[in-house]
Amino acid sequence: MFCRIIDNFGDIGVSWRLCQQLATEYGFVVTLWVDDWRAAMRFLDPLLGSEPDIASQALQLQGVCIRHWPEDEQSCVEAAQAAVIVEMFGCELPETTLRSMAAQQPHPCWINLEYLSAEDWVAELHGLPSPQTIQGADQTVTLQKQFFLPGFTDNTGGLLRERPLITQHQTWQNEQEVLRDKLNNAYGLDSNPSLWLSLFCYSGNSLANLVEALIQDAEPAVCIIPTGKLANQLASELGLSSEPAPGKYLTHGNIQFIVHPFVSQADYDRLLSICDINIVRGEDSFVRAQWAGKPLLWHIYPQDDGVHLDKLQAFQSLYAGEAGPAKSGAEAAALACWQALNFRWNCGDGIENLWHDLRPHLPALHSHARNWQQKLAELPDLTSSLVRATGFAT
Amino acid sequence: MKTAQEIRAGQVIMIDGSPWKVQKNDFHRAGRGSAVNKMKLKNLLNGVATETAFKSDDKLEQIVLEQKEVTYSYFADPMYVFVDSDYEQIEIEKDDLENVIDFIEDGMEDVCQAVFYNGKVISIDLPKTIVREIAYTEPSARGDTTGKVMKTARLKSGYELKVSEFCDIGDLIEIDTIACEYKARVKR
Repeated sequence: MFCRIIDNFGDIGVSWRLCQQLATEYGFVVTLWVDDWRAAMRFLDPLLGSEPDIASQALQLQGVCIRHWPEDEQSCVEAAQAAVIVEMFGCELPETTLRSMAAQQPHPCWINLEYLSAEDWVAELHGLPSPQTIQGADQTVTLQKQFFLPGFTDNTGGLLRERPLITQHQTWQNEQEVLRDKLNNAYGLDSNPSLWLSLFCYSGNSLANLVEALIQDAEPAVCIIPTGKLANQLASELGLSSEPAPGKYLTHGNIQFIVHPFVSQADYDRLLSICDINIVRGEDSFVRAQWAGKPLLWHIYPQDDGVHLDKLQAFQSLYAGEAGPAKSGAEAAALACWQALNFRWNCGDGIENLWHDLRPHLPALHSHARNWQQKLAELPDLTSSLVRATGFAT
Repeated sequence: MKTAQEIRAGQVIMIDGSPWKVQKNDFHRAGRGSAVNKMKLKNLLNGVATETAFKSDDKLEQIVLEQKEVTYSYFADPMYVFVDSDYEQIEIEKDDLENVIDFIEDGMEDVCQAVFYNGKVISIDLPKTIVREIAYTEPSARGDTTGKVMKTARLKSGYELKVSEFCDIGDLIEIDTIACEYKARVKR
């Protein structure tokens, strides 16, 4: 599997979960090639028992071999020796690797795993072949790459879902009060508010607008925010001069912000599970919040031409079940409020009133989120679909 | 070489040694600024149709095939005979006419494009829009004048398509030959 780490840990987050599942649930020998070794080590840091050896450029962890992007001839040829090659999010493979794939008999199964979208065209593209002409030393060879598109319906590639995930969430949610108390004690919060939020959005105007809405809200709440860029902007929004260290909490009016250290994916899943509303972004945290079965706000990756708003609306429409049977009054009202808030927030607008309006709808949104989680859980998961697509299972 | 995004419907690309005509090329924005194209292709050598996906910046080999303007002349089983401006006859089998066969009629005057590969005619392209007469359709039942209510109509060739409810037998209609769909009734 080849992954280019574009920014933060979204791409490697998805790649790592997929590698883990292929290795642990299917027993496959998996190598994850990453182009940014330092970023990969930062991402894997919560799983490493000791300081990573940056110079080594290779690491065996939890059944997966992680290696630095192949650059020399030998590594490029070695990388092509797999039975299945997955390029994550359409990343370009090294030319030498491609030529080596073309020289192999049989050619490896080659998959392009694309970004997640809820738009209709995803189902039409999923599974299509993509003939690729590779210029070898002596001859031209055509390799068949296959497009694999994640999605929310049974005619797409599905979503990543480990076998024990839903049960794990049930367990965490049964222990929710205990887990919250632990966090409460660890951070020494002033009080134990009834509303818990996790916040992982993109920095900029949207964070400023959200923070403004949160601090204007009269109801007490605790908001867990990761250390780094977001926490730094938060401190700035709150008028603090110093960068908040992980493990600290900041109080402003009725809201307490916990600055959380970078955690492993499993710990993040647990955090999502015990919060009342999860504010997530991009792809990995967005999908994981849906598996938590709790209400969510999605900060979609902004694109210059505004195409992200089409993608947002496609998801909102699907999530709200607009094509399905009519909803009850309470659920319909909650979803209408949620859609308006999520959309306006992604447009960069102020959302103080909409946030205030949303709070009474949280019980109905929680119920809807659980139903959505169950609906998704009935679909084939991404990894099993991928394994079937490669022909290694039926 | 052109990128997948630059390729237009009607152009021909070379894949694995075979010429494929692009019948449709849909562009979609994926995530983080990337984009993908879904193409409907037809193999010009054997008529096989397929759908493929490409990253929008994938490089494809476009080939320009020889084309010649022709008009339909007559059917001499099993060959359809077209003539060019020099009255030279060009014969083509029914199988190679595939998606245009339904619109071939005696007396048609459409200027078509005969497409050649290695000196052999491999397909005939109709103009994007053609006009045909409705041979049969049920009378209008509900008096709809909006054009949104559709019913089935049959052409002289036997081909059936959906037309606006207000169309009658003997009416001339415009047909999109790419989508094989009714476009509008022609005012006389």
